[in-house]
Amino acid sequence: MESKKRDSESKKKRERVLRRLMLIAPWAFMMIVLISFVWVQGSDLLVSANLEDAKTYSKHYALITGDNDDAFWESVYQSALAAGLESDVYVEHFGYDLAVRYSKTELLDMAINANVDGIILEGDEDEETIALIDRAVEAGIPVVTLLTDSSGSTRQCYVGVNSYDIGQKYGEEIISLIGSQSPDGKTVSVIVNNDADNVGQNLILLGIRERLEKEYGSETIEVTATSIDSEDVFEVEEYMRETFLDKKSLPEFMVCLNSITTNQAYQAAVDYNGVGDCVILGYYDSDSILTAVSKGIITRTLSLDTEEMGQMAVESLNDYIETGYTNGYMVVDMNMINREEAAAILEERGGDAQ
Amino acid sequence: MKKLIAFFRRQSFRRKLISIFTAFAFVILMLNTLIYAGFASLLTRLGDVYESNMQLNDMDATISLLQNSIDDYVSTKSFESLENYYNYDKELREEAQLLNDVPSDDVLLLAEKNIRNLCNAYLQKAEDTVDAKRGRNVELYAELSEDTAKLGEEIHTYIYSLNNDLFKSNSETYMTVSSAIGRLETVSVIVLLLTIGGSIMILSTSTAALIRPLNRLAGAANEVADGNLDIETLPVYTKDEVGVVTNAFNQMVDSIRQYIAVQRENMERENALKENELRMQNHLREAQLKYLQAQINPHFLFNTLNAGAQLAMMEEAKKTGELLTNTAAFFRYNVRNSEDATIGEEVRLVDNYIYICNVRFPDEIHFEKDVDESLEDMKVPSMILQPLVENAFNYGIRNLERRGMIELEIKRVDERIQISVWDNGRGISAERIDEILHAKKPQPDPRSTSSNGVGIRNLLERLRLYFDNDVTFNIISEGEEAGTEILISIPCLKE
Repeated sequence: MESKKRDSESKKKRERVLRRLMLIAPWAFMMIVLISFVWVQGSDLLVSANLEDAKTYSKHYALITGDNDDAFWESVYQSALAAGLESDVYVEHFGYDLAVRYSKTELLDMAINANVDGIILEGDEDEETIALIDRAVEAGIPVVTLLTDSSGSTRQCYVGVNSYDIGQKYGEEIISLIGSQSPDGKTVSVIVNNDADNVGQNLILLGIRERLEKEYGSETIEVTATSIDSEDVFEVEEYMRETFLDKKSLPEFMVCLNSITTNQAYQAAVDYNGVGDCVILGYYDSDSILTAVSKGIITRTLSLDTEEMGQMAVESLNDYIETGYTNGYMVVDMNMINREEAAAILEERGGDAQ
Repeated sequence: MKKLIAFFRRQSFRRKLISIFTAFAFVILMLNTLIYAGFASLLTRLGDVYESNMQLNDMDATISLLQNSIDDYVSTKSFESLENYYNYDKELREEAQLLNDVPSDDVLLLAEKNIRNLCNAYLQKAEDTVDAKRGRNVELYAELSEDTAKLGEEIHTYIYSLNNDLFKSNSETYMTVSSAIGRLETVSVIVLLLTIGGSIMILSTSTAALIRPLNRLAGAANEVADGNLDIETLPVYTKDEVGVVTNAFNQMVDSIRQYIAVQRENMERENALKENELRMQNHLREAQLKYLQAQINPHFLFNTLNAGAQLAMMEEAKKTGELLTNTAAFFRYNVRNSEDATIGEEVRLVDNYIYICNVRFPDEIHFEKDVDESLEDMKVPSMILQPLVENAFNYGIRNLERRGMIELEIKRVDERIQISVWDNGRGISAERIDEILHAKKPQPDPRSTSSNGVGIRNLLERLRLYFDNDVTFNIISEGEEAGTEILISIPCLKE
């Protein structure tokens, strides 16, 4: 009797608890729905609100290059950008993304007007360039020239290689490639940009000529300079097509002084079956050029240390802005890459990429 | 929480319903507000998406207008163009102020910085140009004017490029926001459906909780209606109308139960009374019937006896006259139809009887009586003493060889009346006494068959009914030939 009573009491208690739960459960359910709705909505809004989360820097440098040799300058820009980010500087490849392609001097003028904190410039000996450099310096914007100097300007520093040395290097490679063969009747065609003010090219040409003359005496090997507008890719392509189609006029050695002409030469050699007919000496170490070297289509390619170049330029500007002084001339390493080395570098890069 | 529940229970039914519906409405309102706020914020963002493009376009237009005003001023030097120049100059300055001026790795912000600085340079050059014109420095203003126009073009290009990039970026934002709106629509519908489902659940459980006591009450009421009053008292948790009704119901059921108990008791009592009355009447009728059977037309006999008595008086037969008078008195008493009598009347009847018997059986009865005179007016049922004396004569001393004695004594003992009828006759065995006194059914008295009276049993029953059981009745006999005494004790009941 007693246990029955207890049983029925505990049953009633259970029922009461169950009823309370039934009362509370829908409210709890509703709260969960509302809270999750607010949460979902809130996170949605936050996600869209955080679309732009830009980092700011204390200084702004402009890298201004002529619009040739994109790959080479892109590499320089990336190293300059990386070096800049380390010292709270943002380096902009100035005018690179604009809808209109401006000339180097126009871009330089714009950079001065845009009041950047420093300018890294692919120099040349053009008077206008020199005048603009002077104007920039006068306006308190330090200028560093890259690869080619603008001697005579008030630029703070030149970062690059001695163009004459480059010519000597090409000359040495040609000599090593000729080896024990007779140098008589061999022709060397140096493809230069039709930029009259580019003293650097002339110095390279001079370096090649002098090195070959020194080795084989004067007028043994004919060194000719072919001037084309290398900024006009179509013109370069046309020239290469004509050269490789007319096997008779094809020189034994072709020296390309920028990555565009190098690429076009190797493209034409493949397209018009001229591989091996002409020794191509290239410039720069982009993947495509290195691939061509590793396949033997391009015999050698000259590589400047673009990473060092960008880094040095930024450091030089930083030094000048901080201390008011910097080195006037900084030398960048250069290296002639052969078939085996190219393969090794590609493998290494591929490994990096992976 | 408990307090809240207790507070809720105290509220009236109407308030409970109102609060439940209010809570429901509030939840829906809150949800709608949330959905509305979500849509509003997204739509505002959608509206703002291309604002940066519009700003740049405005700026571009201002530069064109400013350039026109400069050109105009340089060529015409009109006051109007100068005024325009100042207006647009101010406008462009303000617009340029809105642009970013901190180096950033965000291409768009960096472009803004460049545009802002280019605008500043442009404004400076424009000012120089206007100053040169004012100073009539022809060579300078021509050169400056050209520079300004060139710079203006460059800014156009910059703005155009930035606009393009911005448009791309804004389009992405637009797509993001659009898809967010789409998502919000779906989520809102789902949440609304879930909320409505939840609300229905809340309403159903809450109203079920409210209705439960009512259902309990209805069930109990049905049981009561079916006649089952033995139901448990309903629990009362709330103080609302249902609680009040439940309380009232509990009380009502309780009252009904009590009322029925009282009614039952009353009816039982009434029944007992009625039964008593009926039995009394029965016995009397029985006694009277027996007398009527015994006395053939007593009136005729009584009148005849009276005539006989008068005749005897005229003939001077004194003894005959006395016998007839006594016999007439005896029959007159029997003929009267009344339940009640006094002890005095009863004693006189006994005297009449004894007289008659002495005439019939001379010297057989020696009767003595001792009656307390103060008791003569006390009420007793009629025909009590004579049957006792007749019994004593018929079964005690009639035909007895020795001298028969009958004594009647009526006295007051302890405020009660004690009646004793004694004879020295044959006596009664103890078994017979027990049979007479304790028989469940009144047995026909073996002595009554030959008696013209009624049986002892009948007499005892009548006494009990008359005095409501307050009667002591004893038959004392010490055995054969030891005589019999009948002792009766009754309460004093004055007329």
